[in-house]
Amino acid sequence: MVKRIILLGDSFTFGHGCSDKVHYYDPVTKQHVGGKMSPDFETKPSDYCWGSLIKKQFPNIEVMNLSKPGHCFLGMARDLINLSQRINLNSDDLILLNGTFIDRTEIAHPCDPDSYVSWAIGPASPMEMVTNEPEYINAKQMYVKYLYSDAVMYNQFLTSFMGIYSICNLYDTKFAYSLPKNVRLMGKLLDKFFNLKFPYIFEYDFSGNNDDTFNRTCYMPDLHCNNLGHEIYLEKVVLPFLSNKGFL
Amino acid sequence: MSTILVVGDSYTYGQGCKDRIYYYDKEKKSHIGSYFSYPLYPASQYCWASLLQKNLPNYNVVNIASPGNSQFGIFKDTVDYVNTHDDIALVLFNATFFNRVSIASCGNPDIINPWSPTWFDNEAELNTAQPKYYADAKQGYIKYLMSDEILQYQSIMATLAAHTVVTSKNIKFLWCTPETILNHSVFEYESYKSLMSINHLRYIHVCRYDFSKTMDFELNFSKYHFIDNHVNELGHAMFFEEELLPTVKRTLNIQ
Repeated sequence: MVKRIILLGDSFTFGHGCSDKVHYYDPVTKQHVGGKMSPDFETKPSDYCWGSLIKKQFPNIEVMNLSKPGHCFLGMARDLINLSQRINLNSDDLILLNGTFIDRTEIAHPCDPDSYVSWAIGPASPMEMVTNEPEYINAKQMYVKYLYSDAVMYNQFLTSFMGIYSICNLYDTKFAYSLPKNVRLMGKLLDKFFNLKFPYIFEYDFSGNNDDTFNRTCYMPDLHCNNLGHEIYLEKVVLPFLSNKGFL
Repeated sequence: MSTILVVGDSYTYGQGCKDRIYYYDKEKKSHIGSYFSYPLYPASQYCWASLLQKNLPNYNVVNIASPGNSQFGIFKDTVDYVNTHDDIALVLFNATFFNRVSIASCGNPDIINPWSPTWFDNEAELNTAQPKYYADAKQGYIKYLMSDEILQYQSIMATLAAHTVVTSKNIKFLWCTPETILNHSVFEYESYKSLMSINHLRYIHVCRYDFSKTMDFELNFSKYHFIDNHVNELGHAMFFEEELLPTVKRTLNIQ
C-alpha cells in the first residue's frame, strides 16, 4: 500500500466544474457563469474532485494534488521536479500523471517575461487568459500561423511524459497515468506503458452503457466534470485500478 | 556486431575539423567552406566519434549528429534509431544548447527545423533569404513568448526522456551538455538539479573540455577551437584520447 499519492494534471484533475469550482463561459448567453468563489479558487483543488475524495476515504494516505487549470505536460513535469527538490520522493509514493491535451504549451507571461503561463494553442477561447497588449497577441497569432507544428507539440508531450517517468524511476516511486483519448503513445513505447494506464476522466462513459442522457448529468456546460462525475470516476475507475495494482 | 549510437549537433558532427569547415565570415559577409550535414554527408573523419570507430573495430559506431540540431531533434533521432535497430550497446547522447528549439519550416509546417533565437542576431541568419512574415514571427517569439526557464525545462525533459527510452531497452546511456550546469559545484540554474540523478552518467562535452588543463581559455580557443568556436581536429583528438575513450571503455568493460 502506498503512503502518498501525488497527482499531476490540469483542470479536470483540479476539479474545475465541481460545485466549489464553477466558472465557465456560456456561449448561449455570452456571459461568464460562476467565478472566483473563494480566495484560493484557482490554487486549491476542489473538495469534491476525485483526489480529494481519495483523501476522505483513505485518511492514512497523503494526497498531494498538484494539478492546475490550463496546465500543459511540461508544467506537470516541472511541478514534479520542484516537488522532488522539496520532499524525499521514495518507493512509498505513487505518481499519477493525468495528462492533458497535446496543443498546450507554455510561453512567457505578458506582464512578466521571467514568469510563464500555459497556453492552449488553437481556437481562441473566451476563457483564455488574455492581455490587451496587441504585440503579445500578434506574436501568438504569428507563432500559430508560421512556427507552430503538430510534431513539435507531440515531441513536447512525449519528452515531458517520459521525463516524468524517468524521475519516478530515479526516485523509485510508483507510476501510473491517464491520457485524453486523442493523445497516444506511439509505436514500441506503447507496450511498456500499456499496463500503467487507466481511463481518462474526460469523455469517460459514466453510465457504463453509453447513455448520453445520463453522461450529460456528470458534466458542466463547459464539459468539465461535476461532483457526480468525479464520484463515479473514483468508484468505477480510480479505486479498482489502484486496488488491482496493489497500490491500495 | 554491437552498435554505439552517437547523437548530437555540429560539435558531435565534427564541424570545425578540416574536412567540415563552414562558417560565416563577417568581413566578407559570406559563408566560407561548404555546408555539410547528415545524412547527405557523414560526420568528419576527424571527430571523436570517427576516432572511436577506428579504435573499436569490433563495434559499429553510428554517428547521426547533425549541425544545428535541436534538443527535441536529438531526442527524436535517438528514439527513432533505438526503436528500429537491435543490438545497440551504448548511446552517447550529446545534448545541445537549451535555446535550440524546433519550429515549422517556412511554408511547410509538416517539416520541422531546428532554430536558435540567438541566431536571429546573427548576420548570417539575417542574410538568409526568408520571407518577412517568417522573420517577424521569429522576432515576435523572441520578444514576447520566449522564456529561458521554459526552454531549460524542455531541454532537461528531452535528456531525461532519452535516458528512459534508452535504458528501458537495456542499452547503456551516457550524456553530456554544452551548458554549464554546475558552476563551482553549485547548480547554475535550479532546474538543472533534476539532472543530478543521472549526473553519474555524464561526461564532459567536447566544447567545454579544458584542453590546457589550466583553464587557459585563450590557449584552448586559439589552438583547439576553430575560428567559429567549433572544436578542430586537434581538439577532437585530445578529447577523444583523454576523456571519451576511457569513459566508453569503462562503460562497456573493454580492457
